[in-house]
Parts: sequence; C-alpha cells; structure tokens
Amino acid sequence: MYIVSTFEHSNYLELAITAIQMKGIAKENILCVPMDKRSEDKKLFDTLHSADGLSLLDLPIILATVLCLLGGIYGFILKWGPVLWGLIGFFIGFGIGFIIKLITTKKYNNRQKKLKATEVVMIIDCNDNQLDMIKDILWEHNALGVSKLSLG
Amino acid sequence: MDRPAPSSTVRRYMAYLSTLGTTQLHLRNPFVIAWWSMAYPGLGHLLLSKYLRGFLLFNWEVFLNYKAHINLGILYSFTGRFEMAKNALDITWVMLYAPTYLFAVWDSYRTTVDLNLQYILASREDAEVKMFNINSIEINYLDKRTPWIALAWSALMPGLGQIYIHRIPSAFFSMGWFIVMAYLSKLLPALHYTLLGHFELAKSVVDAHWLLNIPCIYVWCMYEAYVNTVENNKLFDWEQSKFLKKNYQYKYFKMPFVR
Repeated sequence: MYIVSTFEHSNYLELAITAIQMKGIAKENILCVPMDKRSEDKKLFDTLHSADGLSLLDLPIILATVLCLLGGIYGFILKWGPVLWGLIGFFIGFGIGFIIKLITTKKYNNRQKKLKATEVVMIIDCNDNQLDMIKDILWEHNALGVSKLSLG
Repeated sequence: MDRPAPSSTVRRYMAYLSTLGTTQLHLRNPFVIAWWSMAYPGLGHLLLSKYLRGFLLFNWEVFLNYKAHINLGILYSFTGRFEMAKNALDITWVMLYAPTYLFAVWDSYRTTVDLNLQYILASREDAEVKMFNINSIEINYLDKRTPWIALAWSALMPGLGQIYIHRIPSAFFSMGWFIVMAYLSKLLPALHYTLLGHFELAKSVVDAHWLLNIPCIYVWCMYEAYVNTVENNKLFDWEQSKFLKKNYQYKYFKMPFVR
C-alpha cells in the first residue's frame, strides 16, 4: 500500500514527516522527490545581467523614488507643498512602472499565477491499517493533495 | 559551526545564518544596484549585504551633502532659481563630493557583477548551508515569510520589515536614520499641516535639505525588505529540497512498479 502526497516547501512538510516517523513508519519507507522549478532553473544561468523573479518590482520602485523626489522638489513651488506632491509622485511613479512592467512581461505574469504549484512529491510505503492515520497527518499538515495507491 | 569548517573541501557557500541575520548570495541586476547607489551612495552596497562599505559611504554622503548643501543646490536648480543654487553650494566642500559619489556608483556596479559570478560558482558547488542558529542572545533560522507583509511593515515604519525577516544591521540603520531625518526635516509637522490643508504652513515648517533625503531611504527600506524576503524564501526551498534528497531517497525504497 502506498500513499502519494504533494506539498509546498514549508516547515509543515518536515513536521508531517517527523510525525509519521514517530508513528512507527521507518525513514526508509518515505520517499521525497523535490521538484525542480521550471522558471527558476531556466532563468538562473541565463545571463549575468538578468535578475530573477523580483524584477517585477524593480522598475516601479525606481520610478516611485524618482517621482517622489521630484514631487518633493517641485512641491516647494506648487500649492500643495512638498509632502503631498512627494506622495503623489510616489504613487504615480509606482503605477506607471507597474503598468509598464505588466505590459512588457505578460509571460512572467502568467507564471506567477501558478504559484501554488507542487514542489515536493512524497510517497509513503505503509500497511493498510496505517492508511487513515497517515492520511490524517498529511492533511493536517497542509498537504496539497493526498491519494492512496494500491496495486493488485 | 555555522560555516563549513576550515578543513572542509567546501570553497564557496551561498548563505550564512548568523546571530545578526541571513547573509545570502543571489543574482542581482547590477544596474538596479548602481541605481540605488545613485539615489543615495551606500544603499547599493547595503543591498549586497556589504554593510561596512555601505555605512561608510552612506555616512559620508550625509555629512558631505549637509556641509556642501548639495540638496539645496538640487532644489534650487530644478526649480529654476539658478543664482540661489550657486550661492547655496559651499565651495569649501563641494569639490570633495563628486569623486566619492561616482566611486559609490561604480563600485556597487562592479561588486554586483563579481558577486553574481561568486553566486553562480557557489550554486554549482552546491555546498550545504546550516539553516538554524541559536545562541544566548538571538535565534535565526530559515523560514517562509510573506514578501508583501515585510514591505508593508517597512512602509509603516522603515526598519520593521527588516526586523520581520531578521536583518538586524539594516534594521538598526533604517530605523536610526529615518528617525533622525524625520526629526531634522520636520516631516511629521509638515504631514500634519498638509493633512489639515494648511499647505503654506507645511512648506514653511519643513527643512528642505533633510526632507530631500527621505524619499530614497523610505522607498529603499520597502524594497530591501521585499527583495530579501523573496530571496530568503528561495533559500529555504533550496535547503529543504537538499535535505529531503539526502535523507528521504533510500536506495532500496520498494517502488510501486516492477523493476
């Protein structure tokens, strides 16, 4: 009898594994397969000059700082003063940067949506009478999916 | 202890968890780092976790900008008051400014390129990293944290996002300098009057020189908290995946199909 389950990387995964071991399942009967993530591994060695997933924030925050500074400067001669114009500049800059980034990197955005992807597949070899107990433990520890597998 | 022993064969490793925080190599865009150094010398280096260089350059900038009145020069030039700009700049100090400023930008760019190479080599070497550090005054460990929460706390008060992800040196730095600059610039009275609609009063109460320091530092704190949360999370995944592969892939595991 096998139980196949999927997880995200988190402390709960290790809590689940240790809880199952405490219930008497030997370490040798637990198989974990951490999945390589497509986006990361492909992009990782792309080029020296490309950053990674965070580049979504880079442009917005840069434009936000620039326009916040300019808002602060021109605020001294505009009616509403430097504080308000600084804040207005910040939000306009961030908004423009965000929109540009969203338009230019649509693909990136699609990838972000699959964030709750399976990261670890765990297969546990156990007896029929341990089945429910292990399934409960897995669900309690935020498993994404659990399924039993009995062949023959 | 927390690092590979001197006798081990490990040459490069991509992270170190110490009492003061998690120092980590990861790929960074050199233009972004250089840009932060342009915004405020030192901030680029701080993003690289090169705190001593960063503090040195930052404090130099605070001191020299104050002495030479660079910010006032910028303010008057941008608003078309060129004579006032000329008069504001202090010639006893102003020529000291350019070399160090340009050095900060250049050095943060080239350091980023170098550290990216070190990261690539370290990730190919794939040496283990100790993910847990406990001692008499602090506990630091790898964990998953939410990037937007780090950003939001730093937006409410610069430094809090850094505490959330346990980056003690930059937390001290952000909180300390933000408090000093908010005080010297009269930011909060100005905010108070702005919210009440007394714009002229806000303009007159504020100190222009110190106020112009604030945008860069404030936004930087949010950025730093966010970026490092993302990278710490990636490091957690990498470390856990390594641990599972090492401990839970028994050679004779009875696979559910016939070999």
